[in-house]
Amino acid sequence: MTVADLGAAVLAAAGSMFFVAGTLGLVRFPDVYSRLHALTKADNVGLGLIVLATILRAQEAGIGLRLAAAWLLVLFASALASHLIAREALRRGIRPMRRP
Amino acid sequence: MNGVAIIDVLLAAAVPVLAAAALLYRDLFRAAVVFIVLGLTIALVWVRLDAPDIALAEAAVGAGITGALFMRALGALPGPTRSAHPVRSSRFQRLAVRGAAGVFAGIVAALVAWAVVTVPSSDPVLTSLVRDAAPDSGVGNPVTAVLLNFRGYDTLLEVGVLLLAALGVSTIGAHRHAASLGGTRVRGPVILAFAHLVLPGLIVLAAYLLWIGADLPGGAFQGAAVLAGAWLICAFAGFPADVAPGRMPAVLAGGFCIFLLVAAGMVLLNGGLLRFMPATAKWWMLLIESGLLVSCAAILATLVFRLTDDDRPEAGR
Repeated sequence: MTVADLGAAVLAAAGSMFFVAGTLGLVRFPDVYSRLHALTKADNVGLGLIVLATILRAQEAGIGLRLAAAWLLVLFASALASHLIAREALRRGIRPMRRP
Repeated sequence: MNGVAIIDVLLAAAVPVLAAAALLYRDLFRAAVVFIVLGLTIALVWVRLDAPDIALAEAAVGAGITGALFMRALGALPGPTRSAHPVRSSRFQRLAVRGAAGVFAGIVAALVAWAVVTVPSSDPVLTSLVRDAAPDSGVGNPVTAVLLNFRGYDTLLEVGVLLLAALGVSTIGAHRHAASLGGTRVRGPVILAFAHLVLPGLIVLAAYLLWIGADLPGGAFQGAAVLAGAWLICAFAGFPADVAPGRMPAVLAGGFCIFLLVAAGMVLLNGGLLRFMPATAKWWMLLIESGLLVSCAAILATLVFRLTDDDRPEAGR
């Protein structure tokens, strides 16, 4: 096991933890806005760490670049999707939850 | 049991559960979301079965475009209000309909099971035939070789079916919006910025998928799905991405016509329908695929755009 392999394993495990945290937020948070907040932030970091892990294991620089581009696209797309969902929720009159 | 086997078992268990959930959810929106998840899971299954070409197609068309179709159809449905005059049916009628559906589904399931049991797990003759002939096909990717060279006429007819579907939807579908989503209310600075950022990249990606398809997983259909997605983003963001209604049939049918012309030309040149010479095969296939890329993107976009009208009453929302 090389240093790169070890680094990749650590990064992938850390990324998975972020996914678990994001999913936990999706299941447990009280309203649509806080769920979006949990999902997009945690999952984007989690995916970034896992992409970093796969880049470490990539055979060629080109493949690593393509993986990084895929992560960038997912970042843009998830930012847009969560914005659109939150806006539509506001438009339908769903109020953000407040501490009672 | 090692880690890879655990992933395979989880995937194999997830597919039937997701399929059942997509069928059984009463809430159609949930069912559509689960269907998209099912498509992505099946794409992962194809990856595990070493079929990345099919995985790409499943993710792009099976999950992406079909998901967009479902969402759009859902948006056009009236709300969950019940119709004023519900169709009354006797208990016997309901039982008969369900029984007939059950028998039919059972027969289909039995046929599929029979096919799975009787077909040999791998056909060494066919695999070696393809492998031996691959150097003469002009491309390095055996899937592309089969799709456009060895069994090109299958693909020709499939594209014909796609074209017929698009023409059918164009004829009887919603006609208020030629190729735009004029009334769709997904406007705003964020989606505009997103479109500016990703559209050039998506167009390059579609062309890249087409080009790389000669030697690696990819091809015209995967590229077309990406291009159709780019077209949808354009329309949602309010970009003027219209094709003049008079020109749309030409764009839709162009790929099929090029395919047909090449097929006929090969009869004259090489004495056989879609029979290529090894030296020039790659370029003919690239010509066919370029036509298919644009036409299939237009066909997929037409199916999504023309399916429903956007200026619907806001009932039940």
